[in-house]
This record gives sequence, structure tokens and C-alpha cells, in this order.
Amino acid sequence: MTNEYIDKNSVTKETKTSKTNVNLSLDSQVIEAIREEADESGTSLNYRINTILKKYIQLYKKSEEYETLILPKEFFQFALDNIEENKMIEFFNNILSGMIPTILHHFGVPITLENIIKYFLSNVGSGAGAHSGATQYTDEEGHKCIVLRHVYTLKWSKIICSTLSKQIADLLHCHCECETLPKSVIIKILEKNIQ
Amino acid sequence: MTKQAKSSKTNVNLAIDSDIVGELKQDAKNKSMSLNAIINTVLRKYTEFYKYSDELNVCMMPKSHYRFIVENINEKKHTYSIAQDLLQWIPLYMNQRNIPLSLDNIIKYSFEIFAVGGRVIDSFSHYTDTNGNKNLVFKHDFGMKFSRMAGAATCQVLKELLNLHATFKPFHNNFVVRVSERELL
Repeated sequence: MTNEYIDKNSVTKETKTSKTNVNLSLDSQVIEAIREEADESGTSLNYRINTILKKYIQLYKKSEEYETLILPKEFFQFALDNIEENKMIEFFNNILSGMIPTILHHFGVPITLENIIKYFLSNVGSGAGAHSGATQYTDEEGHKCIVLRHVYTLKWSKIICSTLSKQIADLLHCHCECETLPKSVIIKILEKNIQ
Repeated sequence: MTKQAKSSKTNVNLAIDSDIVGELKQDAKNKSMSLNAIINTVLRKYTEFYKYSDELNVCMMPKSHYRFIVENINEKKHTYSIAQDLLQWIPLYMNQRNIPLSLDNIIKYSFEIFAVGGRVIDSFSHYTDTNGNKNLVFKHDFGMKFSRMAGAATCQVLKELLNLHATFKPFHNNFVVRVSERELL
């Protein structure tokens, strides 16, 4: 079984990248606040600013472009507890059918399983807090499996299973099986060597 | 590495990932801003909002999701939930920044920065009327039901946190909270 771990940390994972030196004149108050934070976490001001800018590019900028609301996760759990499961499934099916292709298009990548995992599930889904991480592996029979973990209740697992596996199946013209667990789901792609 | 320039600015020499600089330069070009200005804006937003929203364990949802939630949840329950969230968030945010709880600070930090930054509210303004009452005007995009819920929750929060008497008037996509500066007995 091969196991490739992807989660929201991968969004800010360090890779060997080239650096550009820039001279900036920044608000002293802002710099001091970030310097304090860097000191507390035992990192340099340079490293901290790099991390903030990277997260902005990969998550917050897109959130601003799409005008997404930023709310406590408790509120989402409250919504889950108070709206009928069927209504939520219908709603998310409608939303996701347009959202996944739009997001892949935004990143300029084709619709493939790898790109759905990398750009939609790991980057956008994890960053937005819909789930806390995605794991991908190939089982002993050669089926690709995606594991999504989350912090909500079983109802959210059921909703993910009913909506996401359907959307993946529709977009990739394949069949999926989904196993519902209290804090995670496993989506298995039944066709082997799916692209 | 850094040198104090004027009282409000600090010169910094940074080595930033080239791909990030490239993206930010493109952003700056699109917005007709300098790279310096755009980085300053991003870092300010971070220190004022994103840093705290990260700590508060948030999720992000498109407006359409929230509209769906507003339409489908019982009004009384949702009002209670908004008030409870605000009663938890506001003191936490103020305490973390060592800011005293006052109406002016709640206006500045909770409404101008947090509510607008979190995009639940599109815009916020306030004025003092001829009777000396403070009027808080919240514009949004979620209809009358949200105006009623958020208006009622705001009044409850001002009463519980500051012991202030407040009433509200809901409209289709905005609501006005009128705060009497006199404390409740």
C-alpha cells in the first residue's frame, strides 16, 4: 500500500525555492507585532513574513476574491445540527457541481483526480476548514482511496459521502464507494488507473 | 536587518520566496499599487484580523452557503447562536490585544475590523444623533431575517458586555442599532 500524505500543512510546506531580496518601508506597529510573534515562536522576522505572505497568496487572497465569509467552526457545527441532512445534501450537490471545475479552472489545471485532491481538497477544502486533512493511498487491490478527516459530527461525514463522491464520479466518469466514519470518510475509486 | 525610518515606518530588507514576490507584483499591478503598499496592506490585515481569526479556529464559506443557512435555521435559535459567538469572540479578541471593553473599542475592533473583515457585514458606519444616541449602521447581503437576528444579537451583546441600552431597526439589507450611552440600572 502506498501512502501519500497531504494536508493543509502542505499548503505552507517549505520547498527549495529561490528568494528575491526586497527593501520595504513598512508600518512600524505592524512590524513590531510580527517581530514579537516571531520571537515567541523562535523564528526570524524574515521567516514569519514569508509564511504570512505565502498563506495570504494561497488562502486569504482567494477567500477575498470569492468573498467567502469567515466564521467560527462552532457556527458551522450549529448549522449542521439545525438543518435537515437531505436539504444540506441537495444544497452542497448544487454548489459543488460548479465549484470544483471553477476552482481547477482558476488554478489553470485540468480536471483529474490528482488535481481535485491537490487543489480542491487539500488547498481549498482544508484551508476553508471543511475538513482538516486529506490522505491518499492505493489499496491492495489497486483502487485509489481518499481519506478526509474533519472535526464535525457524523452528519458531516454522511453529507461529504453523499456529495463529494457523487461529484468526483460525475467529473471523472467513474464510480465511487464511500465509507462513513464519525470524524472521517474514505472515498474509494472503483475504476483502477483513473486519471 | 531593520532600521527605523520615520516614527511610523520601519525599513526592512527581506528575502522573500520569488514565486510569492511574483504573485504580489502581479497583484500590485492589477490594483495600481506599489509592491511595498501591497505587502504593507497584507501584513496589516494579518496583524489586525487573520492572525486572530486563525486562533479562533474558523472556517470559510461562500455567501451562498451562509444565505442557505440563514434561510433554513430557526430565527430564535440562530439569533441566540450569533449572540453567543459575539459574546465569546469580542472579550477574547479584546483581552488578547489588551484593549479595554468600551463601546468605542467594540465599534472599532469588533464591527469595523472583525465583522467587516469576516465579510458577514459588507460595510459599517456610525454617527451620533441629535439626542446624543450612537447609531450603528450595518449593511449586508442576507435579507430581512438576518437583519432581525443580527440586530437583536448586537443589542443583547451590548447589554451583556457594557450594560448599555440598545434598540434596533431592521431593513432588507441593513439594520441600525441605536445605543443610548446611559447605562442600564
